[in-house]
Amino acid sequence: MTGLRAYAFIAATLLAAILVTVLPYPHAYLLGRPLWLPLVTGYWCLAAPRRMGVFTAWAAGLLADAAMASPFGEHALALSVFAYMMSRYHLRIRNLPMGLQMLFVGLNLFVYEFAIFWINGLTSKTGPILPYALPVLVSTALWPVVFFPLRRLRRRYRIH
Amino acid sequence: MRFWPSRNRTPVSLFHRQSFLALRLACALTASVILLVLSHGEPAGSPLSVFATRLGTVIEQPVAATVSAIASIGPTFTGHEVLEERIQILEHRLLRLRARLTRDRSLVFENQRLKALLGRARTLKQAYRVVHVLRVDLNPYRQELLVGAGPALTLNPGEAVVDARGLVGQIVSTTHHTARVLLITDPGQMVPVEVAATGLMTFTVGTGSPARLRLPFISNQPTGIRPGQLLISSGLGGHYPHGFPVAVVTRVEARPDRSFAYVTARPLAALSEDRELLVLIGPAGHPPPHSPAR
Repeated sequence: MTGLRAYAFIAATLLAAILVTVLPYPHAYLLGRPLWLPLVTGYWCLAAPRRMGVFTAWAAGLLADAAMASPFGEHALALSVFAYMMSRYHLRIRNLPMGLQMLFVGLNLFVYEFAIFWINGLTSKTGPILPYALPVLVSTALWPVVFFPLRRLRRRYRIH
Repeated sequence: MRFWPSRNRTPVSLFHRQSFLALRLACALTASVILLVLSHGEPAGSPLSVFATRLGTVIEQPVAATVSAIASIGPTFTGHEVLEERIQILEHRLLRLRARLTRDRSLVFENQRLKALLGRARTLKQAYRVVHVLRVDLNPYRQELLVGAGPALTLNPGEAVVDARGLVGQIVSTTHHTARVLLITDPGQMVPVEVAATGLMTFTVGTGSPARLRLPFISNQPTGIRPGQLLISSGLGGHYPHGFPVAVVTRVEARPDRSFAYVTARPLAALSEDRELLVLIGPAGHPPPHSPAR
């Protein structure tokens, strides 16, 4: 797959990630809700760095902001920082074994979630800290769950 | 890390794209901060928030479709007999409630007569509109519902939303077919309430959990507030009508080391389970302009 179709495929996975994030869930799930959007964004930053970068992540974050009615620009900011870290070191992360890869992704997710926590605090939406910390751990554990299926899809449709 | 692209960069470079990465990040961060600053504290009608709401509808349609698809799985695989039985149960319940309603109607008349005698001319009649819940957002920093209103229904920001059990929240923004309802459990929501038994005026603040509200300004001195007491909306501020059940006090704990006691309450409305809600039309709390002054 080349050109526009590859972009369309990446955009579709990002849209699906936002969709899955905003579906209605029971409250217990929401306490540790996985951060699907950064996980998918992170995968494409590693696998297709020429197509997925800071700006694409920013646009996806803006759409997530609109969908979640969070302060407009909040997820955009956090996700562009996340995409920067993943793009900047994509060659190194790619060659890491799965365990270390998860560690690196987890660290970046921490930065992502901290940015959201910080902006929420600035816009006077403070809350308990656990609902910010738990998703980072859950999402780090879910990195292989996102990585391997997406790699399979990417190889089948030959997206570089 | 090279921040700016250098002037004398070699035409063929393996990581040539990467040298722009920091610059891109700087652009994205600047744009985000500008958006955040512009949108913070803006009223619901400002161009930027209208744009954000429009952008949100891109994702709202597929979400609504997915939700209704998931909801339709149940009835499809439910047996005919089970459904018939459920209909029968619901019809019985309807009958019971109708009977109770007829009984209550006389109480309403009596109540109005008594209020007229006391000189309180606030009419209890209020126009309702039924809306359907499309999406529930219950996360620690945003507690809200997306409701769909038919094209014929016009809803306005500021209108109060209730369910059969109690106060749900208020409408904060609307599009052509949907409206966002900010719940009373949102961390940014405060509801003026009074303790039904004692008339003590205070207000509740959302905690981000759909099962808990806090009453932050209850004195450590005995105020007569006890677990199990009903909190009703006091109507102060005019956002919510007077007299709607809001919550039940669950915990009262004096904290001599702090200025105020620790008091929590459980909202009466089934915030995460409701499928249909009522929107109160018109300015809540204030008596309608045509009501006779007594």
